[in-house]
Amino acid sequence: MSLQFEDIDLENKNTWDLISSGNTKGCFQLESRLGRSLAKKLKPSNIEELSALISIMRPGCLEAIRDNKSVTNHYIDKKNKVSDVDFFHESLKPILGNTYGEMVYQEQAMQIAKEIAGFDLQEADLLRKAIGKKKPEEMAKLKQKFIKGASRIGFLNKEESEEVFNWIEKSQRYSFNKSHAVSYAMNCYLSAYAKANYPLFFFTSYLKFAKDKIDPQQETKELVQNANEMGISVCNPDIRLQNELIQLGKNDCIYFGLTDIKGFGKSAFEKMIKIINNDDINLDKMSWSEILVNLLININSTAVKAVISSGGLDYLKLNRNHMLFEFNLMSQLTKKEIEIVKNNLEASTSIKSSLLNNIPKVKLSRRRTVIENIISTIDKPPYKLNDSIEWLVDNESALLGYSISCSKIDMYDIQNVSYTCSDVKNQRVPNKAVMIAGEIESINVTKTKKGKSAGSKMAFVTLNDSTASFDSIIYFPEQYALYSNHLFESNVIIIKGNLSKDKTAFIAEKTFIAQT
Amino acid sequence: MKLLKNKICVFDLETDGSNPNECSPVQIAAVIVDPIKLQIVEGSEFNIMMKPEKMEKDINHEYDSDILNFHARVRNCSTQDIIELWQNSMSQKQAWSLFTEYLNKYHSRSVKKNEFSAPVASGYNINKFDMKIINRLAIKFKSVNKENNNNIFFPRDVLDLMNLVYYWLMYNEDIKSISLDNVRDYFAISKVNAHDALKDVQDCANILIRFLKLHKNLSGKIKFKDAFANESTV
Repeated sequence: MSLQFEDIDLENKNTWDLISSGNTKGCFQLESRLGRSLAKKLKPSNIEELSALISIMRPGCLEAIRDNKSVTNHYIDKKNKVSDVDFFHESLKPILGNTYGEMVYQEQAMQIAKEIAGFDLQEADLLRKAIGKKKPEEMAKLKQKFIKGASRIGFLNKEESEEVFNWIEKSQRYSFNKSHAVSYAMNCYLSAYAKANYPLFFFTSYLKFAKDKIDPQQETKELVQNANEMGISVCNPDIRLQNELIQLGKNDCIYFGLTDIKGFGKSAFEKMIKIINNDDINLDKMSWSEILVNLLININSTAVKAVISSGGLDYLKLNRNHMLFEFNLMSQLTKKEIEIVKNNLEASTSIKSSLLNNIPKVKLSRRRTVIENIISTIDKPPYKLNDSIEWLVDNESALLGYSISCSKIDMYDIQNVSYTCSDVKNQRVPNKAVMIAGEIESINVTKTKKGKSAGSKMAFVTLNDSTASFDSIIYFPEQYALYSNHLFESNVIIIKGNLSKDKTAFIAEKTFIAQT
Repeated sequence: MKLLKNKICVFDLETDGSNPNECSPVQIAAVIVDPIKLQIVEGSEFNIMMKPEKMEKDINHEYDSDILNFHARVRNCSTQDIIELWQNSMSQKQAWSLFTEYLNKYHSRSVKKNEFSAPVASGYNINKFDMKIINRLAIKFKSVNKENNNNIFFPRDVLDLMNLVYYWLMYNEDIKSISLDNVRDYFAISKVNAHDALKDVQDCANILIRFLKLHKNLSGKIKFKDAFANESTV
């Protein structure tokens, strides 16, 4: 697929809908929880508003409080017509008009200094630098100059100009310049455009680069969950595809690459491909036993165990633990013994029968005993070779970053639970108490600051199921005191509760331990 | 405190003698306990017979009748059956390899596995008996860390159920001794197939789970914080 920058329509409805829904995982600058939440609240519909969104997410606007409200919230409320657009002074209207009367960019502060206080552009730039670098002496000097200049120009009186200066100082401390914000907004739009219109390519590319992130596992997890929420299937690796990296496969599924599996390195991949090519191996037509003795036994064991455990050979319809077990047994054989098995495997139906047929060819009695023991172990393994859900989840999570084939929740009896984490996240739950279930991903215990139980412990819980991860479940002090015993990482619980008034959080009322 | 997510391996060795410094295992049985769900992990039973070291050196090694009689009684068979069973069992090395592979399956993480992600060793009277044998075999088959300690189990803890039972029940006059049979009687656990290694570990695992549940419930109710605040220290 090829997409030229010039072809991109900046008024694409899908893109603006995606940004406004807060589904901005992978969208430049709006990836964070704050970014997603503010995108949802602000609902930008053009590059100007998107630039403003990227600016008001920064500490300058978030921490600049006026009338008990941050500049960020002032901007959002005014844009959404929740509050009236006002300008501190009519003279500021031409400068702050595009941002609903709020000072969002550094350029606006410079322009105010120029228009209201008569600064030239060099002085205005000095003001910008002084604010950023927090130089009190410089600021004091500039403040005097600003007030003096404003009085000379005559738009504002002394008190007003002092107030405007203080306002500039507060909101501009960490604010953004508009040119920077617009270029960020363009990049953000481009990534959102790709996500909204070409989600398969978007997720394939983002998953490919997940391993370069600070926390690759978390990145992969969030991307796969997000892809699933958008109806895109991400599949376990498949050794038959022989793909090194994540790629788009048949039926519009994204397949993990073999080197995306932890423990399956590039050298193991290259060795595998070399053997396949040299020995003319056709994985589609070979049985498990043939693949084992012709290919896997020649690759390093960590890589083989990783590819089996992550589902790379699931197409053979055997339990992964069964394959791991037989691989371990075969590893006990010498190269010569493997060669004997290999050469006689075609006529036999299984490794066991090939071993049985070839015992007489093994000269050393000590080695014959080893082989006899292997045969008896194949017949009667000392432990069950089933793939429990827990084992599958643990292995896939560790090796791929996310459990694709199943979720821990699948082990539990959650028939009474009618809503998923995705339903809660996307506000698809009725306005009454509902039950959700999931595995606790993380807990953040904090102390309440206000109210009758100020100083009491409360908790924010992140819960995940196979559909999504939801990070805003609130246990207020009363509920936390009752259920703190159940709240620990990896525990699977059922929560009865309601969506909060603003629908962004889920308030826990009761908690039960899920039963298998 | 951060919850230890390492699984617990309750295991038992049946041996060809009573001196842990000399005897070798003839059977290893184990089950895995999930420390979070506090239940036996489904399908986690492990059971393997192995040829004793003495028979590996000399297949016709002659054992004391006491040892053979004990095993024959437990298995409800003749002493000759026991000899044949041992003679035909897997080598110590192969059985050890299968046991370590089994433990590997239950590490708390699936990549970068090491002794710190390994299961916690647990069993009945393992401190003075089974662990000594495990450590000896670990050295023999090179399953050791830099300090030459076994690396198949979590190094910090060994949960010996016998100690746990003793310190909980030591003031209880209803229980005469802390042999596993007595404890089974006291807790009303069936003794059918008792001394079969797999049955023993399952019983031990269930007792351990009860105690862990007890600890979990009590720890939420008892206030340990500042417990010594009003006591003067000398």
